[in-house]
Amino acid sequence: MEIQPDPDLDIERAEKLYDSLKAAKGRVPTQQEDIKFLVRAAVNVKVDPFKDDTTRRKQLVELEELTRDLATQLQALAQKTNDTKTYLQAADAYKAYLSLFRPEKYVRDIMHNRADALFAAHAFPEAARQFEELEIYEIRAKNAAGAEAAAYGALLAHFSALKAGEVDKITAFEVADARQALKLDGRSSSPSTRATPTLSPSSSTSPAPSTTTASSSGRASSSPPSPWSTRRTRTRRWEESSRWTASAS
Amino acid sequence: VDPKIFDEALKDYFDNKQEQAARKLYAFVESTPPTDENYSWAQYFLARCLIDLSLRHGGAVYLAKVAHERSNPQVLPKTLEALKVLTQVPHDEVLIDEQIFGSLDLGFLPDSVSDYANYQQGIVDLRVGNERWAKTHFVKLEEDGVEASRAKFALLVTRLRNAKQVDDQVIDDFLELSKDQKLTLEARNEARLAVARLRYEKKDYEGALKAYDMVQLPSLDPGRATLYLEEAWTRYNLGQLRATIGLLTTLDAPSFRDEFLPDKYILRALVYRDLCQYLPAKRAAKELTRRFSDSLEAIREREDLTQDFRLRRAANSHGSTKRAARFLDSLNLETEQLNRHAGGFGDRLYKHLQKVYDLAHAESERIYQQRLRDAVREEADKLAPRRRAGAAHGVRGRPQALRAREARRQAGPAGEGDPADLGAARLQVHRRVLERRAPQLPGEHPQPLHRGGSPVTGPLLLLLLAQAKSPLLPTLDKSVNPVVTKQREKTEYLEKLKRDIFKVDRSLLETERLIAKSRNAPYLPDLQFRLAELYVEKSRYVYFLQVEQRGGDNKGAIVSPETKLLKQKAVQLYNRLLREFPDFHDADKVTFYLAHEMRELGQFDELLKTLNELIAKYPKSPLRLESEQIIGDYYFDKTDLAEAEKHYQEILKFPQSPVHDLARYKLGWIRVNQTKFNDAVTFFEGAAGSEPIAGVDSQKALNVKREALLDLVYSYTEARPAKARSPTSRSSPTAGPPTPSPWTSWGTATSSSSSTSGPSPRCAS
Repeated sequence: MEIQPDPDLDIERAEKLYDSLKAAKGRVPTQQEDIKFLVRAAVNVKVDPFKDDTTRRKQLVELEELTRDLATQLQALAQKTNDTKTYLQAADAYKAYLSLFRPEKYVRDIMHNRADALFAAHAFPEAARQFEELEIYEIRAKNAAGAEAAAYGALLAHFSALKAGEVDKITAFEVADARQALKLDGRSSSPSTRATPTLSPSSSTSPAPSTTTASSSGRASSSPPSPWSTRRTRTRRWEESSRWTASAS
Repeated sequence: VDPKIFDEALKDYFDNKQEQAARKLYAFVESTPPTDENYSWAQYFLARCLIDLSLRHGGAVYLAKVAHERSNPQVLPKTLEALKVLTQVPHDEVLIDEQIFGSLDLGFLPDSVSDYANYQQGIVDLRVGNERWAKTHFVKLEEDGVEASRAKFALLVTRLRNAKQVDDQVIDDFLELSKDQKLTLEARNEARLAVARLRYEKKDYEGALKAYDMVQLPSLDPGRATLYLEEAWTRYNLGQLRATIGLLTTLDAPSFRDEFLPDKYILRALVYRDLCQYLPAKRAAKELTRRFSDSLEAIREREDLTQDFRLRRAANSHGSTKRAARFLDSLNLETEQLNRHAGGFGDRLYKHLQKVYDLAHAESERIYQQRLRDAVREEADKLAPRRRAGAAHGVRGRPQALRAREARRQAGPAGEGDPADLGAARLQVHRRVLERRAPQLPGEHPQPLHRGGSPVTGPLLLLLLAQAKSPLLPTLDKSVNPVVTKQREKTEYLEKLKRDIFKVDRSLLETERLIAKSRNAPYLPDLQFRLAELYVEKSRYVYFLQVEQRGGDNKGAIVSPETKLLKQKAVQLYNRLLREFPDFHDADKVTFYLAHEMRELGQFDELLKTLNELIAKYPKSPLRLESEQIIGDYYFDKTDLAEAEKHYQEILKFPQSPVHDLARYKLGWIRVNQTKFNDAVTFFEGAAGSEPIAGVDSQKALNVKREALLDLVYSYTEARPAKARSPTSRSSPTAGPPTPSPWTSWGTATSSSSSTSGPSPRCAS
C-alpha cells in the first residue's frame, strides 16, 4: 500500500491489513502507517464519484471502525511499553483518524486519547491544542464536567510546556502561545474565580474502553487496556498545576 | 441508447460542439457495458470535451478512470499525454501524480510519457525513503530528457536532506545542475539558490553572492522578495551595509508590499545599529510591530490564526499550502463554469458533474484547512517575540530548527509530504538557511561593527550624501514658472494618487479583517460587495498612476497587468457573492457591476451573458434599462442594427427614464443608416425635446439633447426638401460631402456626454 496506491484495491487491502494484524495477536505491533493507509482508503471511498451513496456510507462506517480500533490498540501498546516514540505514533494515528472521521459518538473520546498520548510523549503544545479542541466539543455536547476537565488539561499542558527543560524544546511561537494561554485562560480558570474543579482521582472514572474499539464488528473481540487510565495521571499533574496557579495568584 | 450516438458525439466534438458531444458521450458511457470497444474512447472524448470547456478536474476524473481500467491499449498513451498536460496547472495531486503516474504499471508507452511516469514513480519511492528503488526508475529515463535532469535534482535534494554535513561535492553537483539547459529556468534558479544557500551556511558569503547573481529572472518579472532578502543578509554578513540598505529599500517597492518578511525590519534595525544610527534602528524595529500589529494581536489574544489575513496570505504563498489553495481556487472557478453549462449538458450529466465537483471540493477544502493550520503556525513563529520568551531564549539556538530536523529524520522523507518536489525542496532549504541565520539576529553578529575603515566613515558619508541633495534643489520661484507649475501639478497629482492607493489598501485590509471576523454575520455580503468595489477602485488608481508615470512622449493605451489582476479579483468576488448569496438585496447591482468589469476586461461575450442574466433575473431592477442600453450599444457598435434596435425599443416600452433620450438618439441614428430620415427626425426630436424627469438631477444625468439637436439638423435637411437652396449648392448623393458616420458621432456623443454631461452609466446608477 505504501508504494502502490490504488483506489480500487485500497479498501480490500486495508481490510486484509486489519485482519492480519488481528490474527497476529500482538506479535506484529500496529504501526501508525497502518492507520494512515486505512484513512487513505477511506478518503478514496469518500471522493469516488462513481460510488453510490449507500455503498459509500457503508464502507466509510466500516473503515472508521477499523481505524479507530487500530489507533486505540496503538495507544494501548504505548501505555504498555511506556515508550515516548510509540505514544507519538499513537497520537499521529489519532490525528490521521480525526483528519477524516469525526463521529459524534466517539470524537471526544478519541480527542481525549490523543491529548493524553501527546501529554505522555511530552509534546505539550500539541497536547494543549488538542485539549482546547476537546473543550469546544465538550461545550457543544453540553458536558460541563468534560469541558472543565479539558480546559484544565489544556492549562496543565501549557504549564508543562514552559517548565525548565521543556521550554527549550519548543518554538518561540509555542512559548508565547503557552504564556498567553496561561494568562488568558488561567485567569478565568483560577481557583479564586472558579468553582472547585470536578477533576479528582475519585471522579475520573473512565468510560468503558470498549467505546473506542470495534467490538460491534466482531473484529476486535478483546478490549485493549483503557487509554483512560492516563486521565488519572493527568489528574495528579493537575494538582501540581493548581498548586502552581495558587502560588502564582 | 442507440450505439450510433457515439459517432454523432464524435462528429459534434470535431465540430467544436463540446456541450452536445459531452451529453451524448455521457449517455453512451452510462448505457454501454465497459466491454464495448468504444467504451474507453467514449470516456476519453468525454474527458476531452470537459477539458475543452475548462472543466479540467471533471476531465481528469474520466482520464484517470481510463488509465485505471487500461482496457484499450490504444487509448492509454493518449490519456496519459492528456493527464501529463494537466499536471502543468493546479490539479488533484493524489489522483494524477500518485495514483496514476506514481503507481500504475503502465507497460510500454511512448518515450515522453514513459519518462514522466518513471520520474513520478521514482519520486514516490524517494518519498517513502527507497532511494535504491527510485534509482531503478531513474535509470530508465532518457539521458538527454528533461525528466533525467529533474531526477538528478530530486536525488540531490534527498541526499542533502539526509546528509549530516554539507560537503563541497553536493554544492558542485547543484552548480553543475544549474547549468543544465534542459531544466526549466525555474528549476535552474532553484539549483542556483541551493548553491547560494549552502555556501552561506558554510560562511562562504562571496561565493553565495556569486550564486545569487547567477539567478536569472524572466523578463518583466517584478523580482523575488526572498531572493533580495537573502542577498541582503549575505551582504550584511560581508559588511556591505549600504548595499544591504539598498536591497532593503528595494523590498519596500509596491510589488513586494504583500510579502511576509518580518526579517526585513530586523535586518534594517541591525544595519542602523551597526551604523550607530540608534533612532532609525529603533524606528525600524518599531515598524515591525506596527506593520504586523494585527497578526501580533491575534497571537497575543490567541485568536484563530487561520483567520488572520496576513498570516493566511503568507501561508498560502508557498509550499504545499499554496498548491492546495490554488487547486481549491481552480475548483471554485470550474464549479462556476459548470453552472454555465447546466442547460447544454442536460440534467443527468450536470448532476453527475456536480457530484464530482462537490466531492472534490470537500476533500480539497479538508486538505487545505489541514495544511493551513500548520502553515500559519509556522508563519506566526517568524513573528513571535524571541527575546522575551525566556531567560536564554534570545541567544540559544532556535530549537524548532533542531526539532524539525529531528522530526524529519525520524519520520523520513515520507513525513515531509512531498520531499522531492522542487517547490518543497526549495522551501526546506530556504527555511533551514533562514533559521540558521536567525540565532544571529539578537546581537550575535560575529563581524566588527565597522569593517575596513573608521567607525564614523559610514554615518559621515550618509550625512554628506543627505546634505548634497539640498544644494541641487532649484532656487527658481516655481509658482510663476508655467513649466514648473505644470510639473508641480503633476507631482501633486501623482502624490494624491499614491495617497489614494494607500488609503484603498488600508480599507482593503480593514474590510478583509472584518470579513474574517464576520463569518456568519448578516452583513457579510455587504462587506464582500464593498471589498470588490475597493478592488475596482484600486485598479482605477493604479491605472491612472501608471498612465501618469510613463514618459511624456508615450500616448495611447497602456498594458497594465496589475490593473487587470485587480479587476479579475473583483470579478471573482462578484461571482462568489452571487453564488453564495443569491438572495442578496443588491444582487442586481452586483450583476451589473460584474458586467461592467467584464467590459473593462474586454470579455464581451461574458458581458452580454451577464447583462442578459440581469434582465431575466431582475426584470424590475432600475438597472434593467441601462443593461438594455449597453447591449443595444454593443450591437450598434457591431453594426448589427436590427438587434440593437430591438433592445432600444425595449427601453421605450418602459416609463420615461434618463436612458430614454439616449435610446431615442441611437434609434435616430439607426434610421439615418437605414436612410429613413423622416423616422430619424422623429427620434431626434423626441430626444431633444423630452421633458425633464422629476427627481433626476439634469446636471448629473446622461444628457444627449445637444447632440440630438445637432444631428436633427442633418437628418432634417435630408428628410425635408430645401426651399431656397440653389441647384449648385445641393449635394449630389455621390460627390457631395460624405455622410457623417454615426459611429464617429456616437463616439463624440458618448465621450462628450461621459466627460461633460454626466458620469459613466455605472456611476449614474
